Amino acid sequence: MKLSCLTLTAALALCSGAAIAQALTPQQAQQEFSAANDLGLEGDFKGAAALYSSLLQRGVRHPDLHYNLGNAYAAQAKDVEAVIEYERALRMDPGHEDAAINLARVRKRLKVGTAVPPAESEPTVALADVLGPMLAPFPTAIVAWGAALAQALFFLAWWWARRSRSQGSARAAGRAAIVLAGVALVLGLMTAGQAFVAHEPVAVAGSAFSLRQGPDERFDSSGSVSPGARLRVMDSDGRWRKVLQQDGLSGWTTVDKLSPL
Amino acid sequence: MRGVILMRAAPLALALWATAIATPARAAGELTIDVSLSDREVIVGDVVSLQVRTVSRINGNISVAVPRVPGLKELSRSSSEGTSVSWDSTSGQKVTREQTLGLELQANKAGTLTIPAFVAKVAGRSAQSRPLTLKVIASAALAANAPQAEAGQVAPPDPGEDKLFARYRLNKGTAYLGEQVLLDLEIFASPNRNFSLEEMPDAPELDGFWKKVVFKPTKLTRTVEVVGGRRYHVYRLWRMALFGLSAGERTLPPARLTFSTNRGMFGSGRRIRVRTKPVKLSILPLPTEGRPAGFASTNVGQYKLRATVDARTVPAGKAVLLKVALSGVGNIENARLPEIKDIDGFRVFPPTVKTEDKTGLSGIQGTKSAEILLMPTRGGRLQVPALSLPIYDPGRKSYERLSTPSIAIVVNGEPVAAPAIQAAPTKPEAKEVKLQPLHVRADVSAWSPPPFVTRAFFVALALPPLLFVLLLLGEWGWARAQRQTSAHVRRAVARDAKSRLQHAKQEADAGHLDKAYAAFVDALLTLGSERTQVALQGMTTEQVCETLAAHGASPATVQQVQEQLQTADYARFASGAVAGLQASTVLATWGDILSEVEALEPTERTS
Repeated sequence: MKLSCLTLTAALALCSGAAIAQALTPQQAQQEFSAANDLGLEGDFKGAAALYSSLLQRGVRHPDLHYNLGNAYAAQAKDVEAVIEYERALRMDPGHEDAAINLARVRKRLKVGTAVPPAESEPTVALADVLGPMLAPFPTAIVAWGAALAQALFFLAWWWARRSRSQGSARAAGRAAIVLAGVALVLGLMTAGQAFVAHEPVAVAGSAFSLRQGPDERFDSSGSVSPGARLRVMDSDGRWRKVLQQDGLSGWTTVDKLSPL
Repeated sequence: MRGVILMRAAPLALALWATAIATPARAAGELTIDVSLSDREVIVGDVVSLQVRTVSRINGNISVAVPRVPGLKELSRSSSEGTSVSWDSTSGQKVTREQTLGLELQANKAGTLTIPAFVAKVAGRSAQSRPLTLKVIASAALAANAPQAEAGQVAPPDPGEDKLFARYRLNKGTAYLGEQVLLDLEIFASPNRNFSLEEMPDAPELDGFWKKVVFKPTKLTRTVEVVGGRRYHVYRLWRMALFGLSAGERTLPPARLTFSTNRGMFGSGRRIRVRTKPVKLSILPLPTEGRPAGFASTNVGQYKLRATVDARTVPAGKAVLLKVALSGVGNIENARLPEIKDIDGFRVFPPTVKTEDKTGLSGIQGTKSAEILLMPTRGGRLQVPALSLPIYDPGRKSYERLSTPSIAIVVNGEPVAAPAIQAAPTKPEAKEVKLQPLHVRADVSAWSPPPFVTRAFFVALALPPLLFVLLLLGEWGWARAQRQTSAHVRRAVARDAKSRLQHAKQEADAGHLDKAYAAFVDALLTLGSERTQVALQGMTTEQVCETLAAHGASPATVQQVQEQLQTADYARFASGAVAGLQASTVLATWGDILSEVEALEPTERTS
């Protein structure tokens, strides 16, 4: 009984989603999130997914919302959708361990199911692939605001060193400025790296499709992409996007086949 | 005496009598109320304007009671008041108040509705209007009498709508189920009629049709057409493509439009409401005779079917992309493509379907295509079989069977390199995956985006260096303002010399030429000292002249300086010695000397 009531609530929320799009208060968002979690815990993944999606459509953003939606999809064997949501959760929070674990597991299942032959190309390693895991353990907000604070303190110390009448305090301020400049540089580079990784154009293949050698249907196929594959967008030409798979396979496809992260 | 009194009283009595006769008539005209309706016959859903005009010559506020009428819903109410003052010889100054009340009423019940009398009250007096009747016709009754649409034709204007009216226009009066019909909403206006459309009417709710607006101009353009023997400017508001979903007679409900006419600089003009006439459209069922097996009723139109593959020869393990495209004129969005479930020698992946439709004045046309990934499961020469799709072509009024030829694909080698393909079922079973649990404790309202996407972060980043640079600039500016540059000193000394010369002139004008000389000498020595960077104040006249000459002063100037310094010495010790000199001549000479000294190139001070 409770399950059906919650399902009905989810359906109603979906139907009226557009109408109340702007009127969602933080309390309501939290309540609906809890209701969706209840559905998920009781096994109604369809209802849970509907409520999570409804929250996302109405502008609520949280890595756990994407993660839980990914779980709801994965439980329904909607692996491609689950992959997209886990990727989105990781995009928002690169240190989301559970999302990374579930993504790997669902990807593994997807590969077993689709069995697209491996590409003949050489695997590629992009800068974002190296930076992402390196920077993932550091909380973005602390690093970024730390960089800003260190920079502000550096300028303060420099000013102090210039204005100080006493030679001793000027020397101390100068040393502090050098240390702060180093801290600001390191944290600033980390922030830049995190921003680079976060803004890297990445998409997930929504279905199986064949890549073209050029931005037109008449070009020959350069290989096939399996559903849920993570693709880096390298170039664009109208509605065509040049994508690169991690295994080195690259080619052109239309934008409607990609789910951007 | 009595006669005199009678003669005097007679005009007074006459006036009293005239007043007594005139009073009831005036009383009747002191408060009037008049009610008028914009229409006397409407259909359910129409809006009528009711205007209540009250005129009062009684001192006091006008109040009008608005009765409620069942079946009429008040949408809006507006009120305006005005006062005019007139004067006549009998009653003197007269104040007339006029109140106009406007009501927008929507008829929502069929029948003859009676609008009861309106009562106006002013200072205890009252007046009432006549009751009015409004005939409201049910939409169904109107639909029953709606004329059958004729292809491309519009009904002539009714009496009263000869200058501005609206009509539906259909490109056909009869259509088959699923066939495309184009419906236009058009305004017909007399060439000299100025109007503005208050609101673009929405497409009507049409039951029994799948519909889509295919053309909606951003700016109205006109054509000229003769309707009912009169010339009209015709404006198309939109064009809609209709596809009948079930057979039978369908009535298109009237569209309502509101115009403002004669809009002036200071007013909104008159508001006119018009509505289209309902029209009937016959939807014919598709013929049962000759209907092919597997025909889908959504496949009605003029279509072509095409099937292509991206490669005719592929190595084993490489997929082939089969593209099946249905293109043409019709309800392409809902058209069905041929189903491809199994092809011998291939594993068939679920299709990716997309529709690209083009809408315009010619209606809906486009392409619906499906891309299907085919994975060869064995080598050799494989066949993608011929595809066929039955459709109904309303142009030819017959069923057609669209077909594509079979396509041969050569697979080089056996796909041994990809054993998973053979092992994989067509629809893979969802293998159980152990997932990490849901995160139920998250506070979804508390998450904030990373700082580097917020404006505050960039402000925080840019502010310290900006502030630092500003402080440096401020410091530099302050130091510069405090510094005494040589140019600064030069300008100050020149200003001081000019001031002393001015003082000398004042003294000369006052007749104190001796004091004037003293002031000039001060000015000369100060300016000269600054220009030559040599202290001239303690020197003799000859030394001064030598110094000036050494720093580039012309011999004539040096000569003048010598003469003036000597004269100044005389003036200092014997003021009478200079009494006979012309002040103006002396002042001109001083001016020349100082100008010459000021122009000397400054010499760097040496220690």
